[in-house]
Amino acid sequence: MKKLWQRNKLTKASVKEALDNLPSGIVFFDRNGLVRLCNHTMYHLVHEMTDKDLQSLFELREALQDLPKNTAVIKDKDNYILQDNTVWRFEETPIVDEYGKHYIQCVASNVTDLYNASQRLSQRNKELAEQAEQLKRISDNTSAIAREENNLSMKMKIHDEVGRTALNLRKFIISGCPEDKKSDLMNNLRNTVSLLMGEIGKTNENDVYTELFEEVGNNVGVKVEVTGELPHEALSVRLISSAIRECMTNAIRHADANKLFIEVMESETQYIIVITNNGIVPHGEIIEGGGLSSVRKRIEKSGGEMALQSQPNFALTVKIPKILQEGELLYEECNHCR
Amino acid sequence: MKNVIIVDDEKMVRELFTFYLSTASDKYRLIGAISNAANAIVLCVKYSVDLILMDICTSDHESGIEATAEIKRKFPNTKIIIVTSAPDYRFITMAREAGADSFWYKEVSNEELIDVMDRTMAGESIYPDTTPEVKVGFAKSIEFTNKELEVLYYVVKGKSLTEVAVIMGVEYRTTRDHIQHLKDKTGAKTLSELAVLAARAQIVLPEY
Repeated sequence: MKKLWQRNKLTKASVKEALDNLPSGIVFFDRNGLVRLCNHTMYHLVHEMTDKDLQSLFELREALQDLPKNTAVIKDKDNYILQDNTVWRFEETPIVDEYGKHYIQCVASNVTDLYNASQRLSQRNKELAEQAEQLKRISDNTSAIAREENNLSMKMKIHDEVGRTALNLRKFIISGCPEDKKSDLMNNLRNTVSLLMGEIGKTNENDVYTELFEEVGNNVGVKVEVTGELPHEALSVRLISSAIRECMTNAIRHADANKLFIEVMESETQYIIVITNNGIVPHGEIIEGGGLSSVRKRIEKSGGEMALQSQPNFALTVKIPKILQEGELLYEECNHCR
Repeated sequence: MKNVIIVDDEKMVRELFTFYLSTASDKYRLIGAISNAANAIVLCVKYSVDLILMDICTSDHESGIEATAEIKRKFPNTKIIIVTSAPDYRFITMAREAGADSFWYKEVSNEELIDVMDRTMAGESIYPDTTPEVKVGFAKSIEFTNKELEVLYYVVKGKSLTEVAVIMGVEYRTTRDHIQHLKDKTGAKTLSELAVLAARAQIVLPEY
């Protein structure tokens, strides 16, 4: 009879025994943070971590937050790696019993398999990311080679043109050139020579600013005067040249200006570029159209700022951070390219 | 006399096109020969530009397609001929969507450039039916499906197959199968080899 009673009745000892048999660590604290019930696994875990027995919730919290310096346990985000290479994660939950008493339950779960799988996955992802980056580099280099091949092909076309002109010249020298063909022949010769000269000087490509200021600016009658040194990092150049281009367009279209002034200032973290012109002062507040708002979008997306001033004279101020978000800028490029 | 702008990042090509224009100097006047597509809009604001020969891959990574869309929005009467040597499978569609009037492959088009210019100015829209056929490993570019090329495009752009699957809204397995088909067709043994073959043939140019 006593044995039957013992089998069916829950005692403090049987509850403790049941908890001790759990694979997880578990501990209950009362509202003062004192241990009311703790299983073997949890005692063992805390001992491993702190080299002390578990006394209170605050000690446990402190240990989880900052592991003691002499411990062999390693913390990796929310995971605690023990010397035996098992990995544990702790979770704290407030609970209320049937009499309305408040407790804090802390459970330590063995997440070794999950952690190892996640480590393998992140290692694999890292390798894949490296592979992807490598592929991109290979592709960029190979594209450059392919473009060089195209250049070579163009070169051959130029040589064909030169050859044709030389043949014509030879023919006319031997058999004489009719008066009405002389002008054509001379033009052809002039163009061929210019073509050859261009080919010889083909390495002297202009940079972005030079083309914008000299070839385009001079062509449209807007002289550009720069004070300070414009940045030459590819991404900054792209943002700044788009702002200058827009100002040049507006200088022609609205201000009837023939000069664009660019003042470049620099702080430790950013470039500050102020663009003004010598044209007509805007009559009222400038309303940003498609061009300016597209420039603003580009600049702000890269962490920069743009400010527009209408009075007493037009001024566009652009602030470009020195460290740009390269990825965003490169792949913002154009919707068509996606 | 029609005002023309040449946009090409290669000086040699600009010189060659300038030469072509000089052979038809009674019809065309060169306004500017520039390397950056975005600069063309400044010239369009100043001059009444009738025709632009627009490369796609221009200097400073400016896309000729993007510039075309902007110019067409602001100057709908300006005719634009996309001129490229890259057989990227997306370019013809992208050019149409941007509103380009004609499309001319530098290396392989049968028509003479001046002829294409004349016909475009006369209101004709001249587009090739397909991209030029190029060899990619053992395969010809026409053997690839658009889905295969799309996967390849993202891979060459530096995306992992998992990311490609998310972007394209397909299973990871599908992207892996597409790559396997491409490898089978081209004879490439690895993904890197496939990327090199694709980039060399310029069938996908992810930076544009």
